[in-house]
Amino acid sequence: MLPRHRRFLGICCVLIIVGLASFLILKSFQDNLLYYLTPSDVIAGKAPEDREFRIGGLVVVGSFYREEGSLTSQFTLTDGAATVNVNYRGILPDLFREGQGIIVRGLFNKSRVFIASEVLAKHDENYMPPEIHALSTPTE
Amino acid sequence: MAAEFGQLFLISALAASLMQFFLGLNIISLDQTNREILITRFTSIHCLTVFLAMLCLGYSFLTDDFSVLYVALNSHTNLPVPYKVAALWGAHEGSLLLWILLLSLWGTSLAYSKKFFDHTLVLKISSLSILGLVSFGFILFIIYTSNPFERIYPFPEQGQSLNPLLQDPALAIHPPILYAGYVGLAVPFALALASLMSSNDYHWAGLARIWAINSWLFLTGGIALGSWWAYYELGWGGWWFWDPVENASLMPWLVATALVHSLIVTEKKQIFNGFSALLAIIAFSLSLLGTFLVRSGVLISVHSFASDPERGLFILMLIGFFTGGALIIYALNQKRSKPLNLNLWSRESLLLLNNVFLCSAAGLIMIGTLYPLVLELVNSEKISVGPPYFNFVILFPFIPLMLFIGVAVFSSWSGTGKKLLVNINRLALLSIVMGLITSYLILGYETPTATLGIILALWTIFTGAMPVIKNLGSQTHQLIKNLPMALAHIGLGLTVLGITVTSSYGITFDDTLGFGQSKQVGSYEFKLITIEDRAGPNFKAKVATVDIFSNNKKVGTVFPEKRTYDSAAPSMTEAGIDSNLFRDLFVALGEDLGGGVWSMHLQFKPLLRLIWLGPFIMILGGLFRLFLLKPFSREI
Repeated sequence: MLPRHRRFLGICCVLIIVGLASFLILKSFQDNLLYYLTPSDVIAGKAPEDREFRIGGLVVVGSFYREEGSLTSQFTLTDGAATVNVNYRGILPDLFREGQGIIVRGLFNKSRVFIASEVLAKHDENYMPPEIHALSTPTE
Repeated sequence: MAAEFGQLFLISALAASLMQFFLGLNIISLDQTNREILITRFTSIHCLTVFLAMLCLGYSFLTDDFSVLYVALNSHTNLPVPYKVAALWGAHEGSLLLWILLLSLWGTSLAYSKKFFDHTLVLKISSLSILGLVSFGFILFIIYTSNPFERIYPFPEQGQSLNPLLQDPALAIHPPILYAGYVGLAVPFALALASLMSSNDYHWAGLARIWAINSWLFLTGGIALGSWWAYYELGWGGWWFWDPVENASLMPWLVATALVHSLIVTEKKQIFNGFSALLAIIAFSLSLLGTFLVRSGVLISVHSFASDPERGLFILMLIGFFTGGALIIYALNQKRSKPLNLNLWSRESLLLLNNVFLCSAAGLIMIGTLYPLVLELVNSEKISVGPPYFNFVILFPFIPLMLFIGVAVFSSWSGTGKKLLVNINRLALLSIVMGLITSYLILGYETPTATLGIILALWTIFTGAMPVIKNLGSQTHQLIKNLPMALAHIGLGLTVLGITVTSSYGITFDDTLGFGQSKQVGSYEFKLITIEDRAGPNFKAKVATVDIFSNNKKVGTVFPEKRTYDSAAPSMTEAGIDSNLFRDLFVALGEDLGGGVWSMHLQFKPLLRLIWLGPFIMILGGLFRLFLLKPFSREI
């Protein structure tokens, strides 16, 4: 093989590998974009059917229900205009309260109940918490 | 009064840093000796005044002077004294003051360094001048937008106390260490620019290497400490979340790692001069970006950032000025280098290749971190990029990186491929066989990625250790010559091994536990014994006692806690952890579900400790290089 041919082959290989890697990276990027919606967006039909997304809203006061000794809880989220019923099995974050702003990640089941796989209380996801006064003021 | 003195010191520091900048410029006519003496003095004055300002703020904290807004927001009369000190950098204003203090300390270490000689003196003067300008920008930022000495009237009787999350020894020392790493990168940055503007050759590389290794050490320590803190304090046993704040520290680390390696090539072979300079510029720019992400409030809410953009815009302008300015200087002074005749399998080209992989890793993380912020600002569409993206794409640069690390260790300067192949094939075979045995026979097959990860980790460890093992019989100098590299690579290998095994073989779930009841986690049995009340200095707690059994034999007892602090409303979870080198058993207390049943978060994490043992060994390697080996070769 001439050096010229070898170089050409080498460049082709590198291009193919880089192309393939970029394709997989872009696809992973697409697949892992989590959309953030409000309950009104959900009612307006913006919710994706086949992939997880996030809903943010306030926990409706009086809507929280959990059977004694059970890990599964139910509550309703609102943005003032629309509501969404949420079902979650697991430990709720320390900052979870009725009337508090939270974010849930998950999918709707067939009976249009949102099955959450993760519940984040506001500021819970922030590694380095913001200034204290932001914690004590109600958000949104 | 202390706050007013602090304010005065801060303004003096502003003036001193400006003098430091001007003394490096040619518009002041001075001969070089006097110029050096003066700029060194002003660097010390600048450092001293920032330090005194910090002391004044500390005094306000210790005397509970709640008429100072920053103290009122972050302290309380019953806050333990060590945390009053930690509260100095617990929030925005104080942490920026710390940032500047550390920057001026690094500047002073440069000013008093004995590594400069007649022909590199111009490098020292120009880089001190550049550091003066960086400091000037940030002191101005503090005074204009985030003054820690601001008073309030009427002042409150009591402060709001430090966020309970931050009341922890590891987090108290985490910011100073991480910041020392961030701002330490300003020194290679300044040296690179000084070199570009003067001789534009390789002399700066040996000097920059000292500070690059220093900041790399601090960054490594800071990131590891942060991850360890997140693991036991945030409550839910995760050790890395791909949170923007974490990414903000990982990106400079990756580029700093590339920089340290590239500087070796520039110092030893006098090539890649421009590439090293570019890496130095990018590394410090990423530090600035990290400061922007953490300190502008853009992460807490893009909208609050957009509506009150004063702080964020100021930092953005500083980034634009320093990064943009540096890149312009780089572009204007970039010499067309003579064509390089690189052999693909020589050490210099393998190091170059790996530096490209390290930078691509930083780039991929940057896309995932910044894209949601940009999209929200432009489109007000809210999205986030999930951890699966990062977990997946990081493999693309890291698999070849880990593969070539071992090859590069055995390559020689300007070497060829033939000899290399003979040297590495036995170790490669050993890593593959041991990796397959570990993943198939000891742990049980899980995924191809897990097997590959184990093999690559072992490969990095073996190839790292080999140059030292080979020289065991020879003289001490020969033996310790390769030790820093060996320790750094073994550390990396152990970290990757820990990450791979923990994430592939770990078990984690939420469940309910009643008194006397037990739950199976892998081969371990967790049994809840009691839950009792306990009172701490400024909190009340529920403490559970959980016994852990393996094959009906008790292996440990953990005491997870739920704390309610007097000052802040939300309660805090203190996990109960039983750990040894091989596995971590983790219990976090959820809540009382009624009927004597509690919710609990249970974890079994094999080899988790390696994730922090690895960085520790890497740090040993770096310290060894700085303090025990002969000084860098081409400085004189």
